[in-house]
Amino acid sequence: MFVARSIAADHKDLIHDVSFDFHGRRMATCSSDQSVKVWDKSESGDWHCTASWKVKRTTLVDSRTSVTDVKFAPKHMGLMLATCSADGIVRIYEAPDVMNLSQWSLQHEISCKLSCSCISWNPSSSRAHSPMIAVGSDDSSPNAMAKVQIFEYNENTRKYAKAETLMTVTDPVHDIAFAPNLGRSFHILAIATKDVRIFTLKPVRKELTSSGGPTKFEIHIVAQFDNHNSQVWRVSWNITGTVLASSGDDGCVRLWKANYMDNWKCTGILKGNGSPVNGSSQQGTSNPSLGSTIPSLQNSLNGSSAGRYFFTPLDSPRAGSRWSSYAQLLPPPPPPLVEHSCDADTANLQYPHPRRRYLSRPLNPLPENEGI
Amino acid sequence: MSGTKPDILWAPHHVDRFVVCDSELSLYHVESTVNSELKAGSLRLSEDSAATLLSINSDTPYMKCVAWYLNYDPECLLAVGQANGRVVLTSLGQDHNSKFKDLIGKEFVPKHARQCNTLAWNPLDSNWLAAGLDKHRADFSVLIWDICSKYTPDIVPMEKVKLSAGETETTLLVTKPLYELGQNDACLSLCWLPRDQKLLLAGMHRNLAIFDLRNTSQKMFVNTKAVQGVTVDPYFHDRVASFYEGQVAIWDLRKFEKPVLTLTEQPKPLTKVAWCPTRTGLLATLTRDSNIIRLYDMQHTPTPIGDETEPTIIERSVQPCDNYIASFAWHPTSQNRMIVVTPNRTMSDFTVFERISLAWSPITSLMWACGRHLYECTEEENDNSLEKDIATKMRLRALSRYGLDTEQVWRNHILAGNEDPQLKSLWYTLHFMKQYTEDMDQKSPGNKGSLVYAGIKSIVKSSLGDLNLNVVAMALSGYTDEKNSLWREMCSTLRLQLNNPYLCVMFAFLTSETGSYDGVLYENKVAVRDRVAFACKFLSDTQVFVSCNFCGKSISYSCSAVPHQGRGFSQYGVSGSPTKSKVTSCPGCRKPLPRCALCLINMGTPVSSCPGGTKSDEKVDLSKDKKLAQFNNWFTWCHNCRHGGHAGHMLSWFRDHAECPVSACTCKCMQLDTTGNLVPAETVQP
Repeated sequence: MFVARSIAADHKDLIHDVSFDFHGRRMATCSSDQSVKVWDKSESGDWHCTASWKVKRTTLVDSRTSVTDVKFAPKHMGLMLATCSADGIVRIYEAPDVMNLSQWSLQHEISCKLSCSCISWNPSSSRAHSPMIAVGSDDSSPNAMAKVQIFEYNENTRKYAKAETLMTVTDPVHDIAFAPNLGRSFHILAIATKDVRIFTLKPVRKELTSSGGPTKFEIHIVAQFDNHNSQVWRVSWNITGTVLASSGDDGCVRLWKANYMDNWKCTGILKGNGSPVNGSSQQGTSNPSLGSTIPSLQNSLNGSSAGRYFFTPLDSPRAGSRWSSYAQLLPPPPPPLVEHSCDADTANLQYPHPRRRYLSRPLNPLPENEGI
Repeated sequence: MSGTKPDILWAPHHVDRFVVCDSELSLYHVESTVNSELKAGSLRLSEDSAATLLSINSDTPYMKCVAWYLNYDPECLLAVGQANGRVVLTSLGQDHNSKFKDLIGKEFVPKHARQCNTLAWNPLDSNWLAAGLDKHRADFSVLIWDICSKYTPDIVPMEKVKLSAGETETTLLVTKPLYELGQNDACLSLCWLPRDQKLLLAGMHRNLAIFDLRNTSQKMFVNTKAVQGVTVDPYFHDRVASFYEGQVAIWDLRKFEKPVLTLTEQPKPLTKVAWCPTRTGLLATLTRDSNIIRLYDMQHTPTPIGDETEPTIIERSVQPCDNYIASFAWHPTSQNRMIVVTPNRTMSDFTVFERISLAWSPITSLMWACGRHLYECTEEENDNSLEKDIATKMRLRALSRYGLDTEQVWRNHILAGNEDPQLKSLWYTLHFMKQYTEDMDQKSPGNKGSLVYAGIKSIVKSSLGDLNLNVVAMALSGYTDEKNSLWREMCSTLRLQLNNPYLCVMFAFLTSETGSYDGVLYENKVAVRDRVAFACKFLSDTQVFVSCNFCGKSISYSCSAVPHQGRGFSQYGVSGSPTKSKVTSCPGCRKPLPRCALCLINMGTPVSSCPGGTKSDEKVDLSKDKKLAQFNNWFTWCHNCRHGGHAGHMLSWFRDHAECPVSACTCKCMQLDTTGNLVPAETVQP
C-alpha cells in the first residue's frame, strides 16, 4: 500500500523535475519560476529547503536545436553527461576535472537520425556490460518508424555504435529508463509512449557472437499497459528495479510490479494531487505535511562538494566496506572512483572483481511464498 | 453560434456558472457531486460534477457573438452581437431591481446593418465595449461603445425610440459610438491590450492592426492572413496568438513584423484558440469536426528575436469526450480546468493534467511534482512485510543487521522480520549445517544409513495421492549414465509433467550433465532451504573467481601454483620452476595484473617473504605453513578505498598500522571490517 502526502514546495510555477542524491536524503527541484531548490530530509522525515538559487554554471552550445534531455552517466564512469536534441544527435560530455565544472569536453557525437526526446544510461556497473545508452524519439514524421535505439560503447573502436533498435515501439516516446541492474544477467528498460512498456534485454554471450562487434541482445517485451488511457509522460524505477512508477495524461501516477513469475501488474494508482483513485483504496489521504520551509541559507550546500556529483543517476548500492579475499561470496565491489586517485604508483590499482558464475536471480522476492 | 454550433463561456466572477449560447442563452450552475447524489434534472459534467439549468434567455435572436461583462455583476450581464450588427445588453438574472436594470435591453446600433463578428469588453474601463463588424464601404468596422453613455450625455447623445408598431416595450437605442475605426474594412476578431486601456488589437480583413485610441489617425499594422481569434497571453502581455485555417501564429508585439513562431499546421480549420488563464504558456486549440483539444505548452521566456532561439514547445492533445467539440472555455480561476460543449449541447467539465515528473528516492519513497505541488509517496509502515517491496525489505533488513549474526545463525530470520517461514527454515538449516560441520569430528558415522533415504521417502509419501509410483519406479530402473541415451531424452522431457516439484528436480538431477544443475537450482517450487542444501552438496566450491580487469576472464589458474596444462609457460618465455609460478599477467589477455601496494610487485607472484613477517611463521608445522603461504598470495583489497595487495602483506601491515598502506590514502581499511579486530589464531604466539 502506497500513500501520498503533500510537501510545501513553495515554487511559484510549474515544477519540472525532481531528483535525489545517492542516499535519498537530499533532493533537488526545478521550476518554471527559474529557481532550483535543494531540500534536506530531517530526522523526522520532513523535507526542508536548504538552498534556492538561480545559477548557471556552464553552457554547452554544440546543439543548434532544442536539447530535450540531459542525464549524468553512472558514477563509475566518472563525471560524464549525455544530452540529446531535437536534431537527432546524442552528445556525450566529460568534465575531466571534477573541481572545474566549467570545462566539459565533447567526447562523442552519436547521430540517431530521428528527433530525440529522452535518453537513459544503463546504470550497470558490471564490467561485463559496456556503457550503454537508450535513446527515445518523439519524431512524428510518418517515415520515422522505430522510436527506441540502443547504443553501446565499443572498447576497440572507442566509439558508440548502435546495438539494437526496438522495432515494435513506433509511437512517440516521451521517457525512457533503464532499471538499476543489481547483478541481473539482463537489463530492464521501461518506455513511456502511448502506453507503458517494459522490455528485458539479455546480452547474448560474447562467445556466441563475432568478437569485436556490438553486443547482441535477446529482447523481450514483458509488460505493456494502456491503463493511463493516454500518453505516458514519465517512468521511474525504484532502487532495486522492482517497482516502476509512471505518470500519464490521465493525471495519475501508477505503480507497477512483477511477481516472481515476471508477471507485471498494477499495484497502486494515485491521482496527481495525492488522493487515491476511487475504488483503488480504502485508505484516505494522509494529512499534508507539516514540514515548514526554511528559507535560511545558513545550511546551504558547500558549493564544491555539491558540484562534484550533483545528482547522478542512482547506482547500485555499494558493497560494504570490508576487506575480502576472493574466497568470500560477496557482491562485486564498485569500480574505482575517480576522486580517490592519489599520487602513488599504486594509486591506479584496479582490483579485479570476484564474480559468481551462477547468476541466480537474487531479487525475486522469495518465490517460495507461492510455491508448493 | 449560427444556431447549430453552441458556444460556451464561464462567468468571470461566479466560479460556478457558465452560459451555453446557440439560438438562446442558457445559464447553468455547476455543483460538485463528490459527497452527494446527482440531483434530478441536473446534467453530469464529469465524474464529480454536475450542472443545473438556472435560466434561459431567448430575447436576443440572431446571435453571432457573446461577451460577458467583466465587472462583478450579480445578474450575469452579457453583450450579444447580432447578425444585423446590433449589440444588445441582456441579463440572465431574475432580479429586476439591480443597478444594471437600466442597462438591460440597451441596444447599440451601427449606421449600416451587417453582421457583428466579435465583441470585447475593455478590461480596464468596464464600460467600454468594442464590436467588430463586417465590411461596409461607407462605414467603420470597429465600433467602441460606452454602455453607460446615459450618464455622459454630453459625449454621446442618446435617443429613446419607440419600436415598431405592436410592441409596447421601449428600448434604449444608442447610435453614436465612442470611437469608430477601420473604415471600409472588415473586423474578424478583437482584443484589448492589457498594456494600456486605449490599445485595441484587431484582426482586420488582411492584417492585424493595433489601434491607439489616443491618436485614432494612426494605427500599427502587419499584413497577414492569420487574423482570426486574436488573443493576448495573460502572462506575457506582449505575446499574442491568432489563427488562419489550420495555422496558429504567435506574435510578439515588441517585434510586430512577422510571427515569432507558427505552430504545426492542423489538417482542419481551427475554430478557437485560447490561452490558459491559470498557468503560463499553455495554449489550447480546437479544429472543426474534432473531438480533441490540442495543447501547446510553451515553456520558454518569449523573446522578440524569434528566429535565433528555438522555442521549446510540447504538443499534447486531450480528448474530453467522444463527440465532436463545438466549443470550449478555460475556467477563469480553477487550475487548468476547462468545459467543452458538443453540437448537441452535451457538456463536459475536465481538468488538463500537468505532466507529472517522478523520481524514486533510494530509500524507497516516490516523489512527484504535479503543477507547483510536490507529493511524497511511501509504503505504509503497518503493512504486512510480505507485501512490501523487496527494496523496502532490503533496507529494513540491512538496518537490522540481517545476515550478520554468524554465531546464532538461526537468529537471522528474526532479524529479517520473523515473518517468513521460508526464511526461517532456511536459516535453521544453515544453523544446523554449521553445527554439523563443527560437531563432525566428535561424531562417529553410525546411523548414517537410515538417514540417507529419509528425504526421498518423505517425497514419495507426500506425492502418493496423484502418482503411480510404479511408473516412477519403472522410470528409475532404466537409469543409465550414458549421455545420449533414449532414457535421458525421455526422462528430461517427461519430467516436466510431474506435479511434484521434488520428483521433477530429482529427474532433472539424474538427467543433467555433471556440474550443470540449472533444472534443480531454478525450480522455484522447491524451497530455498532445499536448493541451498543441494547447492552445498553438489556444486563445486570455486564458484567465485577473480577476473581480469581488462578481459574479464578468470585469472585463477595463473596465480595457483599448479602449472598451466597444455602449452607450458616456457613457450611464453616465462622461465622458472614449474611449481613456483611467476605469472604476473592475465592468462587470457596477457595484460599485467595489478600491483601489491606494499611490495609493488604485480599480483600473481608468490610471496617470498613477508616484509615485517614474524619468525614465528616459520616455526609452525609444514602443512600449516603451506596453507598459510597460499593464503598469503591471495588477492586482498579494501572495498572502501580499493587499495590492496597480497593478503600476507596486508595482514602484517595492519598489525602495526591503522591506515591504508597507499600513501596519501587515509582509509582505515581494517577498522571498517567487522572481523578486522580479530587476530588470526596462528599469530597469537608467545
